[in-house]
Amino acid sequence: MEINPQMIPSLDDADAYEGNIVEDLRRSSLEPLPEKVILSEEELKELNRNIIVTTLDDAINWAHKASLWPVTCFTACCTFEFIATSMARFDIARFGMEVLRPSPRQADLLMAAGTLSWKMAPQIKRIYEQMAEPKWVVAMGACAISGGIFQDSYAVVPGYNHIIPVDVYIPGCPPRPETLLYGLEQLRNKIGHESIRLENK
Amino acid sequence: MTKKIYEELQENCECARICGDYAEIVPDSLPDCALFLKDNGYDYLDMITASDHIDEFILTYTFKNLKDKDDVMLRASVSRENPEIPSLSNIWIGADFQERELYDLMGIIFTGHNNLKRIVLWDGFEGHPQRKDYKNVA
Repeated sequence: MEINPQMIPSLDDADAYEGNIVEDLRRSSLEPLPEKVILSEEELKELNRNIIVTTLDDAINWAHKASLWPVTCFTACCTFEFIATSMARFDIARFGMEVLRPSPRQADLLMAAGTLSWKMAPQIKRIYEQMAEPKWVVAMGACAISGGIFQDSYAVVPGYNHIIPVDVYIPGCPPRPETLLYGLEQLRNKIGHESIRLENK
Repeated sequence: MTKKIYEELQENCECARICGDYAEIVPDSLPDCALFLKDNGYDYLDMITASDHIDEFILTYTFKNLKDKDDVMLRASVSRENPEIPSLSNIWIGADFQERELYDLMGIIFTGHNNLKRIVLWDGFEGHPQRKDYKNVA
């Protein structure tokens, strides 16, 4: 390709071009800056034609499952797997669950983590009853599901479902954080299919 | 080799009998022996435990001398029909909860204890689950 010598500006031309730019800037600097326009009028008109349609169920369920706050109420050693899950490596903050509430009034989720003795059972039931609707319970680990190795014990409740209703059971002794995350995903799916209509309950 | 404190204990409390590395006492002499040990430097009640030997319960008391790093073990057997032994909760306040736990799980009555009721299990629980004849009704 040949280079047209006329396309290459001379030094004088370049200086004049630069001078024009600077002069333009100096002139415009005396005037107030124009207002920022994010969307032009045409774009706004286009946007008005678009309506986002959803059902009330979907909107409410989306809000519910995106902010599941667990109550800080753990009975035994499965707790440590839950703590590991809530920390940076597995990070339940990805699902909006990182806010552990010490008050049951502000919590949505009771993590039934670990062995429950009969003497502790009234307190768990009371905490569950203090939680505001909607509320869910996840039974985590063998003891919470069925009493585990303590099933025949005179002192241990054979499963949280003898005390309070349970939504999701996560097996394991204790469950690995990956298992726990899968179980919580199942709970989120379950919440996603709930309905505010009475006949669907 | 028998520790010197056991011999002193046998001299002072007639009921005590040295059996190897522990002293066997009759239940009623327990407060006397405990007071003697407390006055002789064994001023820490380490633990109270009980074991079920079908026809009798054997209680084991361990006292510690924290200064000289030494310990003394006393054993007393009580019958199954009448499992009573004097309480040490007036001498060591730390004996309070341990005796309540033994009452709860083993059914041993500590006479002189001013609050002898269940501590681990709940009121209304039937039986004493650490006994060998306990039948679990889950």
